[in-house]
Amino acid sequence: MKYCRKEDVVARSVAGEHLLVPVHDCTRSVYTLNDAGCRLWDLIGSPRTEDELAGVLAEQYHIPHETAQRDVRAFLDDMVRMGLADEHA
Amino acid sequence: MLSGAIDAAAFAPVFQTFLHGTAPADLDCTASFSGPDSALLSQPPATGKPWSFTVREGRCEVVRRSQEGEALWRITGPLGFESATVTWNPLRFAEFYTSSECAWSTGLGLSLLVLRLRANVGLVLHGTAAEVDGQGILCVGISGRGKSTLARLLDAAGATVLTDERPVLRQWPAHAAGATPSASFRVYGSPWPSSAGFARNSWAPLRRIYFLEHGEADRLTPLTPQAAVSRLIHVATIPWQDPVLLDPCLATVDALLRAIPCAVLSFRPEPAVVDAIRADLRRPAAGTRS
Repeated sequence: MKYCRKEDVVARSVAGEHLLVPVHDCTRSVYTLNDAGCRLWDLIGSPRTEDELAGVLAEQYHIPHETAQRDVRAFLDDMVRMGLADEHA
Repeated sequence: MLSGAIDAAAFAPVFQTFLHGTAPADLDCTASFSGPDSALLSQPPATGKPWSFTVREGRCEVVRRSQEGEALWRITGPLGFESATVTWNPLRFAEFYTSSECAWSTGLGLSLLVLRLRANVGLVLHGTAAEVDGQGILCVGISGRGKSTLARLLDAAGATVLTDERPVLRQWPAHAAGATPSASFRVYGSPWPSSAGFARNSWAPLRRIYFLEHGEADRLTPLTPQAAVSRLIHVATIPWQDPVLLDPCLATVDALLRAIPCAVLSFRPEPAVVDAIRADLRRPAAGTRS
């Protein structure tokens, strides 16, 4: 399974806060990302597997691969549930 | 400036000081009320989308829909909205608003103000604003956080309440290049009051932003600009539907939060809260660029 961010969601940085804004959405939902989430968001600009993402996170933040996998899984679950990213077989 | 099928004298009394105020206006918008437009009848209903914003070739179109998804009115204009043309649904508009003046004094006028301010480092928010001893404060929060209660307490304590519902912010002095890192801001009243009825055509230099919460005691908890972002954008009127419209508004939020100290104000609905605000305003601002 690969994951990719939706085209109609834009990322913006405001006063040091990372925001995700689904444009064309009347519910005016706005989401915030921490630094690791921001890095993952950048990565899923093109389709990525969970394992690829965990590898980058583990290397960049010097954390065990299992911890990175858990964080990536939670991030992707959130992104798909909130309609911010798509999963592709 | 209003032209077309609209009568300024027919506006509600609260609007009159804004329509005939003596304050110099530097952000004019020539709004032309062109009349009913049968093209709006043929627009497909869009339920769940009360607003739609379309940006194309340097122009913007805003359509307001009823709960049933029917187009009620449409504003079109250049992105800066130095001018605007308003048309409306020939069948539904009168039923919904009863008159052009009624529409103008509710969503239509407010929308046009938001669009005019967007490109001029300005925002409309949901909150109370007041001048306290010559200094402007903005008190914001979602419904039920005590904005009208605080407005009444400020008024009783001798402050000048500018609005208890829709404060307007602008970078001042205005800067042609947009939001600047060392911006100063003014807070203005507007003609859209809430239950406390405050609507004053005046302004004050903005010194503090308070995010209101009910509390057991009066307490101020400073917020970093980053921590204030999520709180502020939920009370700001921002056209989220298109990045072209969105980005100048977010740049304004960025400049605002870097310039103006923010705090959570937990308070009890008693006069002492105004003393706490006055004491805070006497303290030098820390942690922000002036």
